[in-house]
Amino acid sequence: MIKLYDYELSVNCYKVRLLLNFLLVPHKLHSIDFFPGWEHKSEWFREINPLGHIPVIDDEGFLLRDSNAILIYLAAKYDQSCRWYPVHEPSRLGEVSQWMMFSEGTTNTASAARLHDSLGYEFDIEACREGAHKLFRVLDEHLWFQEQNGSSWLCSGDDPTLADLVIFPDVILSEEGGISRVGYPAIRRWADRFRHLPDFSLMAGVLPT
Amino acid sequence: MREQLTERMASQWHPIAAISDLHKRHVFQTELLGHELAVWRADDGYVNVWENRCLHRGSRLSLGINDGAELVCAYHGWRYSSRTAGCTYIPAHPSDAPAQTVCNRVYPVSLKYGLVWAALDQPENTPDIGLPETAEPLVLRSLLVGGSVEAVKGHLEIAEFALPPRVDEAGAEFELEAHPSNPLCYLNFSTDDSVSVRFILQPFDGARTVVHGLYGPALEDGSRLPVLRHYNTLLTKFREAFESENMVLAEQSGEGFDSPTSVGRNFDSVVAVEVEAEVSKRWEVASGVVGMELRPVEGEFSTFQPGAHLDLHLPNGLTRQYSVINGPGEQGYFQIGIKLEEESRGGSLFLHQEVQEGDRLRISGPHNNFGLRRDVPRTVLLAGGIGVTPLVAMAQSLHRSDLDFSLDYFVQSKEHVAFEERLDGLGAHLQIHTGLSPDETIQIVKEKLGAYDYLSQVYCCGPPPMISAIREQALILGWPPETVHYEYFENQTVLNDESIFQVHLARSGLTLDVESGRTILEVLRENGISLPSSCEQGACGTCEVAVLDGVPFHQDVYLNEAEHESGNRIMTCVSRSHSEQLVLDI
Amino acid sequence: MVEKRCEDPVIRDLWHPVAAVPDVVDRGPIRTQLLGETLTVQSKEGGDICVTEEAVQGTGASVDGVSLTPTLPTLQKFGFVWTSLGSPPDSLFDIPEFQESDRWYENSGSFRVHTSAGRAVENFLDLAHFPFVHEGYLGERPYTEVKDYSVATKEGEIWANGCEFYQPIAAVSATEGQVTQYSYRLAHPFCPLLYKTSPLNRERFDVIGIFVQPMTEERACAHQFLCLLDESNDDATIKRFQAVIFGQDKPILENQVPKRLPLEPRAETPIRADKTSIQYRRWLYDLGISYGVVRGSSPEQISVT
Repeated sequence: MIKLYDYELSVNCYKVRLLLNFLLVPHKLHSIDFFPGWEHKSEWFREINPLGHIPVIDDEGFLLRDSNAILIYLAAKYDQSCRWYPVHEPSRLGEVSQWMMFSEGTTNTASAARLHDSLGYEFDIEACREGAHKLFRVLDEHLWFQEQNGSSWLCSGDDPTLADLVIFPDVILSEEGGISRVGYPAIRRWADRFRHLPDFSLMAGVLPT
Repeated sequence: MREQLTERMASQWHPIAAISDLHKRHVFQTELLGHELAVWRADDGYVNVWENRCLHRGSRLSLGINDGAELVCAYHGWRYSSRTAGCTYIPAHPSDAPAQTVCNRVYPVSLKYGLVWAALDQPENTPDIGLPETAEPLVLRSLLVGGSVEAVKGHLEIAEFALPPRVDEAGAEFELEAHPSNPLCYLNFSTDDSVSVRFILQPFDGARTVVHGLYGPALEDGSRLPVLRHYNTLLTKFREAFESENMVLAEQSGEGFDSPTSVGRNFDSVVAVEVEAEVSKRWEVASGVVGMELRPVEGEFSTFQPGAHLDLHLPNGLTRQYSVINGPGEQGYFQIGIKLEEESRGGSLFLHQEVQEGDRLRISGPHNNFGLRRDVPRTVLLAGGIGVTPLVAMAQSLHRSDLDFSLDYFVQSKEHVAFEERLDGLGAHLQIHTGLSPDETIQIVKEKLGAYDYLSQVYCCGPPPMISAIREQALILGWPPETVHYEYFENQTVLNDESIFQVHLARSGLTLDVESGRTILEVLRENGISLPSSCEQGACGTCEVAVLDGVPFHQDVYLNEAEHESGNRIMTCVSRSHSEQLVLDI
Repeated sequence: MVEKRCEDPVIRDLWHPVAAVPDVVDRGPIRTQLLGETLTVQSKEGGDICVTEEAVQGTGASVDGVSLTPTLPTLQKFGFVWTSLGSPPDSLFDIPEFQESDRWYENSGSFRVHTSAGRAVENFLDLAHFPFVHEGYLGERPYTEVKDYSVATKEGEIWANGCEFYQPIAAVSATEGQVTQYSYRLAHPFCPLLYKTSPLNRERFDVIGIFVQPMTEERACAHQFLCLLDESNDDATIKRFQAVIFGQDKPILENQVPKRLPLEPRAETPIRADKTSIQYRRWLYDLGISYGVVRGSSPEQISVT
């Protein structure tokens, strides 16, 4: 069975949990005392991931780190429908990759602001918030025009993809970093739609809708 | 000057969203003049604009759940009804009906030109931006701009907004002009007057403004997108110009404000007075049963809860109670079912024979002595004949909340089945039994109840012999009395004279009787003495009155032990008297 | 945003928690805020921990251009460093269970939240939100009723006794739902403790609490601790449980308007289930606290109009 080295309040771990639950892949969680214990920096964990980051998965001995890499691996291996990562549709695959790159930005701004406000990480909080707002503007505009086109998700097509999945956690928890979503109505609606997906799973801090 | 402007803006219509922003079961969040708003559409299409704040603990309701009929707060699950914003259920106290004072602030709302308009105070007119009433312009993407409404006005007055290339081949640019009757609306026309664009400003808070745009006339599907993109680009540039001046993003600029430190609440006493209602619909519901729909002649009815009834005060001097059959959130009218009683003394007979559509009746209520607990996994509803009425309301409410229940409805024959259109929606939860003997009925009741499992409640309403039989069966099957709820269809309230006490009001000299089942607060209000109240549970201290003489029987949780001991004040919503008389300092 | 200096003498004279001792020893120095002032918490040679106030430009005294950083009174208790900006009492309250040798004690994280300390404390005292905010952990719908319980003031503390709630997993060591008995104790305006039936021994209580540090009027840090009879569970599982509970409360706490705790009872709508918080708000009012709260008019002045 897949083992996920996990911390409940980590957005990157949540991305992996979301996909495991969407795909109904049996798994077990190994809780890392990320805070306040800093277990991800411990010697034993650095044997598993020298970078000292979570998430990491262990799929019957195959170790993989970095949430985007893990998601691509899980989708390729366990999503027979190729819905989440459309490997056979070049243009959609490109779109998914584009937004997965974009998510590096939202994680480094919105989710960094959250770590600052919540766990006391030393970041330039104003820069984090400003950066997040600039990205959220792009996101809101894109989603608004997607709605005008009759499309519910970030990429073309009827189904959500990894693009939606990787950006959703940064967005839905942004207010914990002081980044209000009141100015982004299309983002707020998209977040509602995402939460209504079958087999969607919550994390602490994400409210049902 | 600024205050005057704010005051004037308070009673003006402002766009706060596009109607298309209000997706099904979504809660839209915005602000108007610094007031936070939760905007949501019920499944029946009604658009609610409320203060974004649960009365209980100040939680933003935009975090809550729009269940299509009610808005449910995320913190403690308090439910607020569409239209009235009255609280219908407080899960921590499942058997208590929330006080009528627990009602959120609702703002005036108007839907026009594809936009949702709201105001802080009721405006005199309808939204006016110089468009024909029936116009259906294309709604542009709105943008939040980081400047006060005055600052944004200043910029719009000098802005040059090109029309989309295909509309104006010359590509000429036009200055915007303020609308003569609406200073927050700016206009732009094409050279041949065939196209008009309007920008309407929503004063969001002291530092932010939303620019809404309308483009007319409406366009074919295929040509909409380029126009939407064109104006989105223009507005984005407009916003950037602002921000390069102010050095802060609009979305960020609100962060610096202190959250408000005081909040207003209306504590005006809501008295269950008689109101006038019009019979807006009258129809045959079943054999011998007439349905009536009542609408308020003025304003809105008070919020009802499942199980509640109305008092109908008939011109012949009789007062009759009828259960409200509405489902959750159905607040624009009340529907009731009236069975013609064979031995009518002039109540049902009068309503059947004399009252027609368009007639007016005096009503009071709704009152609720038959509250529905929603804290068990299984609810058994047992209805006999016209006794189905309160259970119809309960069944719809349980169904909406996704709680498991069954409704068994016992009637003489198919022709006697009332409110089929509502019952149909209940699906497999409903079973109708026709023409059963009393023994056969009890047999089914037994099966439905089963041995008590600690997880169920039963509600029954119908003819007295049936209720007695059900209660007896429940007792045999081990159901504790507090899990068996019943309402005799005929009101048989017996007053317990022994618990009557008097309150003497020192300042006005009045002496009033407080009977069993009434509160001091209610009796005072009925006698024209207005007293503020809030929770009506003895928890908030709002209805406190000083006691000059007598021994109070405290039932509140607001005062501490020492204060209870001293006996010199009392919460009039719950507390009573040990002595025959209490002298109050009012 | 520049925080205005805290002028509330009652709050200034209290002991406040500012950091967990292991955090300072292993990863110090720690910069934090207390009542709007920036503090540095660091360990010195010999194992002592000192707390210094960072001089704000223009307000701190300086000698020859070197700013004087006043050292604040410090004590260590319950695994945390406590300090005060005023004249604190000689000692801090006690938790007798802390001395019991068969217990397992741990600080389970210091989490920051964008609300006032009072709001955070009140949420800790609240039972009714369990089935909504902590569904599947501390409560389960449809079991939402808060049964009557008693609240009393004794020796300057508030106690709520006889609280009961149905819980699916009241603690990590529980394997099925149970009706859990609670008592709450407020030993300090920002230190609520919870005594709840131990899943291992129904005669004894686990003690769980938060020591809330008012960083500013509208920001707080909740230092969590556990004092349990539970030996079976590993550290990470328990900490995960605590992090989940905190994470679930956070968006709720950060979306209360206003952020400062209103002490005027009519500002919000308390119900009988809120008995403890009603007395808590009155207690803060009677203590004369003005920092991080909205005092409003006196509860005593509510009169009939």
